[in-house]
Amino acid sequence: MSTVLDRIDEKSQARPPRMQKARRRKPGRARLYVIALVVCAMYLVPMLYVVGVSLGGPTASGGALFSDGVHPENFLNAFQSADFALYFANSTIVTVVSSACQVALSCMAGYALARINFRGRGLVMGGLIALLVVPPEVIMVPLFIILTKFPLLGGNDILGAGGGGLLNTYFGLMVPHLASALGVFLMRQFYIDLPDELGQAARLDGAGEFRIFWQVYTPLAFPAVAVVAVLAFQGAWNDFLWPLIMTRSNDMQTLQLGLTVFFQQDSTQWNLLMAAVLIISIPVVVLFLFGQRYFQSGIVAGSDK
Amino acid sequence: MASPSSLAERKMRRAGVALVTPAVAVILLISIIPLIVAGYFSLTKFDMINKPQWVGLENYRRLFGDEAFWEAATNTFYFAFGQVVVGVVVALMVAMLFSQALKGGAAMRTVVYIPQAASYVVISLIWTFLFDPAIGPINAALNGLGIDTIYFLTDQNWAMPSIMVMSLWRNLGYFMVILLAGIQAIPTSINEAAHVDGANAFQRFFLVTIPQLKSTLLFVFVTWFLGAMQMFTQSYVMTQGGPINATRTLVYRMYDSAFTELNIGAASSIAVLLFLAVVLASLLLKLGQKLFSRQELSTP
Amino acid sequence: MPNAAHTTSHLPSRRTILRAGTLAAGLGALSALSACGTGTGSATGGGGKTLSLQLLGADEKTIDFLKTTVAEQFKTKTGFELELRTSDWASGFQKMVTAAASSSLADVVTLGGIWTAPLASKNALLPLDEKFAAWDESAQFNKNMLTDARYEDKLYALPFAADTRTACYRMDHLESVGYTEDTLPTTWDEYKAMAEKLSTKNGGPAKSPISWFNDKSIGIQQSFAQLMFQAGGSYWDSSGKATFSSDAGKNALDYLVSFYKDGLSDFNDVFTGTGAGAVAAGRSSAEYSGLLVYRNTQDFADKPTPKIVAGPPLKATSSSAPVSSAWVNKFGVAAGTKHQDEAWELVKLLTSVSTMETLNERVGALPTRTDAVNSDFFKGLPEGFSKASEFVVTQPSSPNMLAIGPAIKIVLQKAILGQATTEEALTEIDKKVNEINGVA
Repeated sequence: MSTVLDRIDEKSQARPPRMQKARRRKPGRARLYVIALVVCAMYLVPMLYVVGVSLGGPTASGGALFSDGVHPENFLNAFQSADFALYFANSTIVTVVSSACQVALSCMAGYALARINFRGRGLVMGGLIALLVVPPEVIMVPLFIILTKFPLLGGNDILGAGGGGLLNTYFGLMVPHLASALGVFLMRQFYIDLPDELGQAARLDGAGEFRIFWQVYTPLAFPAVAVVAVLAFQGAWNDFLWPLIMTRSNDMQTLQLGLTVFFQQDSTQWNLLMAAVLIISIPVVVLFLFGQRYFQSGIVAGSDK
Repeated sequence: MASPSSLAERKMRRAGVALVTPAVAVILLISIIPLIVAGYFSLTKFDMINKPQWVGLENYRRLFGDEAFWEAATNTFYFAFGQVVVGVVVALMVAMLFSQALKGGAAMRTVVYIPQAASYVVISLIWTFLFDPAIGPINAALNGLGIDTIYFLTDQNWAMPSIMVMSLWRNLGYFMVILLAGIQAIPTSINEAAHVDGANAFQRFFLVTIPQLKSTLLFVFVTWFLGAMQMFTQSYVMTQGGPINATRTLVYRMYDSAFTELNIGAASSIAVLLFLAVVLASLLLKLGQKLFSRQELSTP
Repeated sequence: MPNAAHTTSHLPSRRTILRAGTLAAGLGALSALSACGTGTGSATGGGGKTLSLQLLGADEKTIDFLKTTVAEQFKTKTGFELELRTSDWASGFQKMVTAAASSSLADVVTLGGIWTAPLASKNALLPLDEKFAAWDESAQFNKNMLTDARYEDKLYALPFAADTRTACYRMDHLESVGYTEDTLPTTWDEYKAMAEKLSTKNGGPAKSPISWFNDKSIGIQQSFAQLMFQAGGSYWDSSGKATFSSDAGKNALDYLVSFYKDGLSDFNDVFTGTGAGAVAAGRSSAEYSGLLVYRNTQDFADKPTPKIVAGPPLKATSSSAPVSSAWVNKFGVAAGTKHQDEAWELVKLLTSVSTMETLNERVGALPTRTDAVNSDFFKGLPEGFSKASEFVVTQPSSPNMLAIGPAIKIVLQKAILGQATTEEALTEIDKKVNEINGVA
């Protein structure tokens, strides 16, 4: 187990720096640091500015952020001035459930495609690779109609008429994020590199196929699971167009939607808006930083397809 | 078929099918069936309320004759191409920078990488403030330097480039990381050999790094481009497609057609065309990668 | 002010605490939720007698008011429980349409200005003429505002809140150049002359004195429509053919464009809904607007808060008729409701004097009936708004209005930016509008 993890870590981290060359080119180093600092400033200055606005008074502008003093209570006020607690709960439910489902389905299918030679494997693999490029926006409108006319759900009759189907339900919000071709593909790429011997040994010990999948190989796949989980989480948490068309009432809105409404309603204060922006970004940024070392190797693996 | 090994084989195959079926079923429901349905709706007149009526290629004929569609297509292409061409160059330069051993390099990479975690809604709101002509810091700084206020989001010529720069700012970190990995995978021996042969840094960059990175660069270019072709949220939040139609994209037209004009036929035909464009682009990617992988010494 | 109240409350409300609880409970019950996929669902079916109401843009206090006072009265009258569904205005129409398309509209729905025809033409609303005629309070409703609730001579909704638009002035600016509330302009020429005096280029206080309700949505088209009505124009003639390139349309657009050409208005000064608008920030002195400019100034202008006055509706020339416009919010009944009588009872209750007074205060709007004028909120408003309400001309009732407004706005912007002459722009508007309406 440790060997596999070590290998991934090695891949994910920068290769040992080319020290020799670096020493030879000493005069250029200072210039490199200046450029690097400029690049970082392009990112840090706007981010810190937003933090500044979120702590300032309602009339902050241009250079004068704290002319009305510092207001940490903005964060509490922002959270209360719209139904953010409710939106937070909605986003959390939709994101956690759909990510969990996506991870589980990706593991199962990825494992089978990598390690089991069943009939139709080539077809499934080809289909998945073709679907990797389908833009989610393309299928929004038809998927919306399919889900609202889904037979026998949400008051619909057997022909799919009469009710709202999955419109305005948690399940409806989750649907596009329940599975993804990319997730399956990434898991397959990972499982395929694991040694055959583990499975053979377990089989000799009398383990069934599902146990080999679940107890032998999947625990080794944690780095890939982390990548798929972060991608799924980000996709669902940050989604905007789908919740925009799939919700009908405020109590089903997600954070991204609630934030847009907060922005568009008359007379919102910029400081509260920026506080809200920071609050809703924290979970996904933290998750990103947490999963960064796996993630970077994951997206690179994805680029090899 | 009675030997124990083939029994185990069959068990294994059955397990394989069982494991793959749920994912395939869900993907069928959320990708393939909607694609087929979109194709069907694009050949009908349908307002979501009354039953769809078959109209053949009428929707496409109308679309091709519709100025607003071409405008949206041009805007989308302008946004995607502009962002990606500039973006790939900048991402490559930043990746080259971070491939050097810098103190605090990991922290600096993370800083560039963070915005990519935030949603487009969040990024758009932040930049709406930064771009604001009256209270935004960018114009405050410009005015301080004696430069006239720039109306980033309300000037027809600035609006799309502004959204482009913002999107580039957000996406840079992601693609930079991929390029960085590509650069680090180039065998040091090649670089050193070139060095011994007397190639300077620029020559090494153009004669070693770029050729070795070809297929990674192509991947980055196409992936970024395909993502940018789907732009909607930034326009919806920042400009609502304006001023005039300067930031109305194909997906925005699709949304308008479907949900304010109740014209599912038109919306679906835009979806189908967008899909075909994406398929074409990714076929080009495959083709390109095949060509390049034959030329390369090792796969990056 | 309603908005100030919801942005400055410091203590967590009971609802917030309850929601935090919901969050915890929700996390605990994830699997159950995913399995059944509930949400609010469509609760019209099922046991118990419930009537649903789709609200748009309501804040917490409005919701509390409806859930307590109104729901109790409704229950006493009909025995039905009231179920609230809430959404925002920005995507409200889309939500209404998708609900109508999947036959899951609430029994009673909120309708924005110009929404009647698009929904009624799809048979999503129930005609209310007979019921309205039989109601002894029907005479109290503002006749002009009722026209926005009609489609093809049938009444589909009752108005409960109006946003009357007229020229609104920032008095500290006006006073600095010699105007008083008694000498406000009444004609286009006077308005333009005032703008010149207010401009910084003539030593006045405002960088771009006149704002035309320029937002990311169709605000400027709404201002143009008002100008066109003042000039005696209309969207189309009796045969349905667009008539923007009439003399009236030309006068209105020339007048509008001249403000931008002469540097009296700024195309780039766009109100996003967040922070101070042009008048509140002092960049402009007057705006074709409604209560929004008044509220925005209360919330965001530097102290002491400048006085905002709603002026008399303008007329094109001294001999023409003054016109204001209004965006009227209404309650309608879904065609598919299973409880028509109860739904009508609810509409009556929601548009009764006392409910309307409270709702107007909550959402910051003007009443739509002449006798709903007793609240302190209403009495505290600039009185010009209710005077202007007598001169309201509403937008035409067309199923395509939601597509027409944005189409016109885009061409107007071209004219304002000088990319098209006013003649070219109006011809293009006629062409586009005819295309949308399917008129040859």
